[in-house]
Formats: sequence, C-alpha cells, structure tokens
Amino acid sequence: MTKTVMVVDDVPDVLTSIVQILDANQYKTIKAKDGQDCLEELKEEIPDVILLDIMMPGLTTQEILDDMDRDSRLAEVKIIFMTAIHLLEAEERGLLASQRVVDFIEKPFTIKRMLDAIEKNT
Amino acid sequence: MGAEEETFNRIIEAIQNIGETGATIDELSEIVHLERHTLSKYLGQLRADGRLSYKRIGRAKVWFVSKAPLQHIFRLSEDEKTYTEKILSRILSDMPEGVLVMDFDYNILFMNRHLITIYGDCIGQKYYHAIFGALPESQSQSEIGGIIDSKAEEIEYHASDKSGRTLEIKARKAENPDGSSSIIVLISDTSEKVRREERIKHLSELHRLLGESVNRSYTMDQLCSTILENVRDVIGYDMGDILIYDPGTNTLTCSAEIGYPETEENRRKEEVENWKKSIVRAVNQRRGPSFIVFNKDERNKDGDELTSSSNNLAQEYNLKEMYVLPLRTKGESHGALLILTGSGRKLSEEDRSLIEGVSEEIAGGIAKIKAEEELRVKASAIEISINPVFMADMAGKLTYANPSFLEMWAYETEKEVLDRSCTEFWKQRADDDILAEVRGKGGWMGSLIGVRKDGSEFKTRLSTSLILGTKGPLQFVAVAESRFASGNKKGK
Repeated sequence: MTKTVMVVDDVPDVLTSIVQILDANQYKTIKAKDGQDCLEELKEEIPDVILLDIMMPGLTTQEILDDMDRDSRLAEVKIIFMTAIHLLEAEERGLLASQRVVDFIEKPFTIKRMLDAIEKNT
Repeated sequence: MGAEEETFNRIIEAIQNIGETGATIDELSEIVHLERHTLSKYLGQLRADGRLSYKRIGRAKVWFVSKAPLQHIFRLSEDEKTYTEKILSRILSDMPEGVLVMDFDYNILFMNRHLITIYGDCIGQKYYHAIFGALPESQSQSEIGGIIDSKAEEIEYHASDKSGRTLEIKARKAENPDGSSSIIVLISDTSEKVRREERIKHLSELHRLLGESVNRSYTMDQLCSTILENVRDVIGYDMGDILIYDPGTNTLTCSAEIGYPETEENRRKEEVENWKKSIVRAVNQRRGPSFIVFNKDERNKDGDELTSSSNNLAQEYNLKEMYVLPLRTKGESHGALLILTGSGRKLSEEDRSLIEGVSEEIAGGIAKIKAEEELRVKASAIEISINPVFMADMAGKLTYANPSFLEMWAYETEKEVLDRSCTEFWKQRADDDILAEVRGKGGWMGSLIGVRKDGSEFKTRLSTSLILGTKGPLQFVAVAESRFASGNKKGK
C-alpha cells in the first residue's frame, strides 16, 4: 500500500526537491510551506509520517505538536524532524519529548538517510 | 579710567603697600584721604567684586587684597554673599565638571566644589603639583605653558593625574578686568570613559577573534590562549583557564591557562588540575556561572566538591575571588572559563556580566573548532578508505576524489580529475541517466564500466546519494566498490 508523507519546509527548493524525490520513490506526498499550512493540510488528509523542518517562521514546532496532540485522528501520525540545529539543542528545547517524534535528521543529509528513516517508520 | 576706578586702584595700592597684615578702615582713610563712610562704600563695592576681602578681628575689619577673588565667594557664609555671589557660587558649585582658574605662575586662584571634592582645597598651590603631583618641568606644565608663552590661546589635552585618573583638560587664556591674564581650565575625569572605550576595543577584538575562528585554522589551544589574553585585557584578572569538555570520553582537559606561577613539581600540578576539574564539573552540573569570594576564616571548612576544591585552590594561590563560567552553546557543554583574582583585584558585577555576555560566543568558537577537528578526523577516514569515493556538484562536475579513486582510475593527482564531468570516468550507461536518476530519485546504485586515464576499462559498482542542505540540493556523493575493479587494462 502506498504510504503518504507530508513534507513541511519553508524553503521552496528543499520542499520541491524532497517531494519530487519521494514521488519518484513511490510515496504519496503532501506539501506544506509552514506550520499553519501543515495543520490546514492535516484537516484534509492524514499522512503516515511528517517530515517537519523545525526552524520555520510562524507557528513554533511545539505549537504544531500541541495542536496535533489535541486531534485524536492524528494519534498515529509519526514525525521525523529535519533541521539545521543540533540534536542536543532540540533535546534541550524539549522537542524530542513527544512520542510521535521518531527520528531526527540533521541538515545537510543524504537522501539515503531520509529514505531509510521513512522506510523504517511507515 | 573713570574717577571711581581710580579711587579703587588707590585703595588697592594702599592695602598692598601696608603689606600682609592688612589694613583697617582708619589706616586706609588716612592714606587715601577719604571720609570713613565714603571709604566704607568703596570697600563694600570692591569686596562685592571679589577684589578685596576682610577678616574680622574683634569689632574691626582688616582688609586684604583678594588673591583668589572667585574662591572668596565660597568662603563667605550665605548671609555675607551678595545676590550675584549667591547665584554664581551655586552655578559653579553645581557644575559636574572641574573648573579651575590659575595665574600665569601656575598658582591656583580658584577651584570649584567638584575639584575640591577630588583634590582638596588647593588654592594658592601650584597647578601641576596639586593636580599631577608633578615637578615644574613636567609635561602637564608644558602643555599649559603654550598659553603662558602666548603660543596658543586655547589648548586641549589628556593627562593622568596623581591618582591615575585620566583627565580631559581644556584651558584658555582669559583677560581680567584689571588687564592681567588668567587661565581658565576645565577638567573632566574621563577615566571611566577611557576604561569603557578600552573595554569596547578589547571586546571588539574578542568578537573579531571569535568570528575569525570560523575561518582561521586555529588549534583549540591557540584559540583558548588568545581568548584568555583578551578577556584579561577587558576585565583584568590574575589567573585564568579554559577547560574543554570531551563528551566522548566524559573528560575535561585544560586547553589554556594564564598567569599561574611556574611550578616544577608535577605532583602539585596534577593536584591543582584535579581541583580545577572538580570545580568545573560541579559548576557545569549547576549549568549557571558561579562567583565565590573567599574569606580566609571560612577556608578549609568541609563542604561539597565545589567548596572544598575551591578552598584548596584559594589557599594554594591566595585567591580573593573565583568566577567560573560554563561554556555552553544551546544544549551542549564545551567546558568552562575559570577566572581567579588574587590580592588587589576585584571582579565587579559589570565585569562578570560582560564576560557572561560573550560566553556563548566563546563557546561557539570552541564548538566550531571542535566540529572542525571532528570533521578532519572523519575526512581522514574517507582519505584512507580502500573504496573510491568522490563528490560532484549538481551539474555532475567532480568536487572531491579520494586517493583510492585516483588509484583505481589511475590518476596521479586530484587536480587532474577535479572540475571534470563524471561522464568522462565511465562508459556503457548513458551517464546523464545516472545523474538524472540521482537528481530525480535522490540516489542511484548499480554496475558500470569505469574508464581509466589511459583508456583501459574495468567493472565496478557504484552507490550514489544526493545531499540536501538547508537551501536545497547541494551535491552528490558516490562510493565505488573496489573488488569489482579487476583487470581489462588495455594492452594487457
């Protein structure tokens, strides 16, 4: 069964590249350009996993996580962080506390690393 | 000259002729031939002008020529001052800067309250001695000497006074109503301003250095030593260390130290190192800076790790204060900055907050060098790998090739292959397909026929992956399998 991946990144080149690569690797994709857009898209469709950039303008990552926690339909949705910040910093900010956060990919990363993370968690 | 001014001069001359004992009104009346009540009126006017002053002896007043007419205002009680004197004395007293008047022999004729508070009442003393504690031939004299020698009407200069304050001095010549000249000197204590400027300069230097650490290939020890020196220039401490934390081994190592007395005894050195490490460990656990002022009577008391090690260190170096600042970037500890002061030095709150303000930047500099060192180690792994590894930009041009790649493709130097297209290094498959697949699917894995520099061919297997950065696709990395590189050299 085709798995659905939502990609949330405010940098258009990153967003487009990842979506294009996932499409080519037989994943169904949903694009979102920021946290607000992500929450809007989640009202329409529920992905298996979300690739979420944690340094975006607008809603904070914590706000996105909190909003998702309030929606029981999204209980099974997993999140993989993609970010330029250090793992320890994310840990200190408490971003890794959520059970739905299953992996943390530091930019720059190889596509193989990203595909392996998605494969493992869908 | 008017008749009244002529009379004034006669009165002053008469008092001067009588000498230092001063003159009573009766004595003056006889000399200047004025009726007592007329003379009294003139004396009152001269006193109001500050040109004469009197001392009361019993019921009589003894008149003198005022040597410091302006100072006279401040010596009078409020009741004795005229309205104008009251206004003038208040203005001069409330001035936040020093005002001084001296004659051309450097005698101070007037000092306002601001200066009297700092230097005491120095009226009648020599300017250069009272302010600078200096001899006549000193530089301070020669600067003012420019006005006395009529070389300048006005001068402005900086000098240090006898207590080490940095003074900004502005002086100019002023004509007195009697035709003589005085020098008016405005004195501002700019020590704090100069100190602040110095601090800003050193802080800028520190910021510049930390910024540069990104681009310069400092070693960790070089960076830490330079930071310690710069921090010492900014806040002035006696001894200091930077200890670096290695999370891999969970150990602390002293990367740089400054100001410690030389000791040959290794065992002692080790003991001191251990105290420092204990202190840093304890402070890092608390995650915030720690400032300890040592009290001799309280030393050697039992306490926690921080207290006992601090006390040992304080006893060893006769410390007065210790400031330990954890060096952390967000989420990560890199070690700590240890600042120690002995006798005579104190770390103000401002000093501490200043350093705390740059601590994250210092930690950032250290983190960058740590990351660079880590990358260099990882890069060496690629360098010595038996698998050929190369990197190419999004157009497919080589940006890196490791020695195994050069060996397998039979090239001598990296220069020969860099900036050349991947398509030149293998055959059979349409290379654009590989690149297109890497761009489109994010990677490619498969077999291909490699082409050596001399044109000979070999089979290999290649695994490639696109690398995505914060702004989009950066380049791709490829690893070839060496075991497929068998034979098929042309002519063999």
